Amino acid sequence: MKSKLITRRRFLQLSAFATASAATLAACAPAAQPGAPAAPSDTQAADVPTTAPSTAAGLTGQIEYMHYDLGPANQSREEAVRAFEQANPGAKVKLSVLPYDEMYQKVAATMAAGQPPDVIYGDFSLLRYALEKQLLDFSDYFKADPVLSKPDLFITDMTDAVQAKYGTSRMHALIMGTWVPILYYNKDIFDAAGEPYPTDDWTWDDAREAAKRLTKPEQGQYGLQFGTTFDNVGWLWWLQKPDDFWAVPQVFPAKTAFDSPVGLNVMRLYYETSVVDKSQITPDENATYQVYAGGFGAGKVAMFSGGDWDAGWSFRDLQFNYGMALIPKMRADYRPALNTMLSTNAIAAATKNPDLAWAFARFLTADKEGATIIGRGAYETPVLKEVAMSDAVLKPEWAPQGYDARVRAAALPGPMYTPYPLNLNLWEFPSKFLDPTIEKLRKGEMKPEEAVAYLDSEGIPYFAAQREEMKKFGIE
Amino acid sequence: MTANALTQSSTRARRRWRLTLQRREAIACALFIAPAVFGFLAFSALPLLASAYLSMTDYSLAGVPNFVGLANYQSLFSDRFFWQAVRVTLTYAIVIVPAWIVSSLALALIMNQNLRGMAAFRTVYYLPAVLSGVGVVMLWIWIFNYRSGLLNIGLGFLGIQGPNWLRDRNWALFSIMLMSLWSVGWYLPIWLSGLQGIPTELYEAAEVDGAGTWARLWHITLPMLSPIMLYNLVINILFATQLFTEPLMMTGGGPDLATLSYVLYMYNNAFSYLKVGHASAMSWLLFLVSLVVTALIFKLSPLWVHFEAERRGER
Repeated sequence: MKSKLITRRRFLQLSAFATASAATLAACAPAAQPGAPAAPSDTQAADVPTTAPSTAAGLTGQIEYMHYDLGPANQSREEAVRAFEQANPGAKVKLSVLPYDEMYQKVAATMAAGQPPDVIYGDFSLLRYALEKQLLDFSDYFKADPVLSKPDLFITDMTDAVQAKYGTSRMHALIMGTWVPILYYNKDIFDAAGEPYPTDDWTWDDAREAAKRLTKPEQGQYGLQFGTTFDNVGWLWWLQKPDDFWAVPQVFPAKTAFDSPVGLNVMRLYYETSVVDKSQITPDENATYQVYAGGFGAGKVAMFSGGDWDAGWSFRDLQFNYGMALIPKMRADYRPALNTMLSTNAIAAATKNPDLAWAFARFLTADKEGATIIGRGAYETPVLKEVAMSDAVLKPEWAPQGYDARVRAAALPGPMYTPYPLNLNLWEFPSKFLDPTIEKLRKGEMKPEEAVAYLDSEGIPYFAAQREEMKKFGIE
Repeated sequence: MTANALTQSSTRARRRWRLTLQRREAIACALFIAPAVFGFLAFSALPLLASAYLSMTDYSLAGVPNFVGLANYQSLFSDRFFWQAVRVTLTYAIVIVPAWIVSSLALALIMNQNLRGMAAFRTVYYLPAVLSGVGVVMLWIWIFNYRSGLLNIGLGFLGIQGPNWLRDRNWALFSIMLMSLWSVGWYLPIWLSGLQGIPTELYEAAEVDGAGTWARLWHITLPMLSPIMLYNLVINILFATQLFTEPLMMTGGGPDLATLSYVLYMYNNAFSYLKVGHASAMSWLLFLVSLVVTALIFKLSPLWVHFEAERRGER
């Protein structure tokens, strides 16, 4: 039999070709299959530590922490990272900061590519990843933690809130802080008009009457401004009654109930302040002011309904005297709308260093030093009670009158659900139905009664379909 | 085997391996185009095929795509927001494509004159084409500002109260069209190269025959520019159907969905609603429609496009 010899040159050619082909294929292949990251708790059960990892337990390696742009509070994240790295000399945390929308797109893209950031700062927007098990289920870490396992140490219920948030028994988001709605007021405008400042027991009727008196179109001065997120969801803050009524049930809604006394009240308030009283500054007027929070930031609006993060974002630099009060109640017999959003940190299931990722997330939430740094950032109120109630958080040197409202509101009993209806396509209902409706309401092209009827006519089938889709995740 | 035989055998082997000049050139050519071909395959062809597959799945960027057949396509046809996006994009294209062609051609005709300082004008008009799209949009947001925008201030001097350009549903899409006209300079070099390629003897002959300006424009310039016009028409239609940055940044698709363009809705589906399957189906529909329209334009082009070389061949 004639043997076929291969020459050295031919061998080298084939080797080079094979190497190049392999490299090319490797470069083209995804790092991991979407939806098939390192399995969360099932496979990790054996590795779950019996005690929570300590921040000084010799953790090594590098993780990436991604958060959206927090303005001046970015500095608090940098400080927190430095403090964590000092406590863990072998650990390195790479910060990635992106604008809000871009961050979620980046998370989506990196999740799809199987290379997400290890720790992701965020909110409800990560819901789908939790359901798809692309976020680490750290319930075992949580239960074993000597601090996190003690509910009394926190100003909010850490367990129920997270589980309610995701509608499962799994835990995918470690609460770091709370956000509450706040009524900001320009003291200079109130003083000039001889008006009493808003108080915590105000109803929206009180606010509306004051806004009418404080509106002076000839001076470009308005009584009221709704926060930047109002169009989408901000008004949902008000939809609460003593029995926790919501126009859109908060966890995996199956339908909407806009056409109800409470829903109608909210729409009326918006319509009447825009169209009847004209005490609400228009978006166009707002756009003419090149400062954060538009007209209010420029000192042209008496009251601003926003989130407490605004105080940390840039209100601390306002050029006028301002105060803070709880958001007004819808009616005197309602309790204040204290529903709180939660800032959280989630860990990607695909992380190569879950211990380090967990230790870092925990440092920001349950470690006194980490929580204090976050609290000083003032973008959210840290949930660790001793920090939340400390002077560092309650009384920063720039604090306006009533600043502690943000902590008082968060600490009061009540559900801590996000005001956003949780569903799979979070922004679809607001952008398709709510925004256009609010726009029409603002312009007087739609009456409140028509608005709530329309929203239900769209919302009931929409959320029913959403609920149907949820079945694939085992949520009935 | 003698030494001579060995030498002959070695020479024959070398000859076998020696490549002809033609073959060497072919290999060099293949090597030179390989990066481009590889780039096309990796970054265009594969994503294209992937998107075709994803359009038949329920992929949401999270989890695993599940095959759903043509359900995404079917659901699009019953989605009123889809039809709104189609309506907005069609309206925009129908208005802006002729507007781009006429205005850019008119500008090119002016710029083609041998007047003093024309080079500077050409640069100025071309400038928007090289500026960042986002920067230009930001600038126009200010120009359109209802209270303090340049446009309404200017109109105010004439005693006219300008509209709320970007927040009035009757004006928002028009405002975007107006802004889009600003970039006509992009087409100037193409028109100018066409204009300068028209043989001057044609004009001289026409002048001798007593043809006036309009006659020369109608019977010489336009026919001679028709291949350029064909190119611009196709490109403009493709550009117009891909309207995205302006509504995204200026209006977010509002007010009342009046500026919800096709690509913006596609983008929302993919990145806001995480419906990548729907978005992929939309992109394929757009591709197919663009393909049919382009094919139709090319099919009809012999009726109005003057291809000089072909005509010569016909003779």
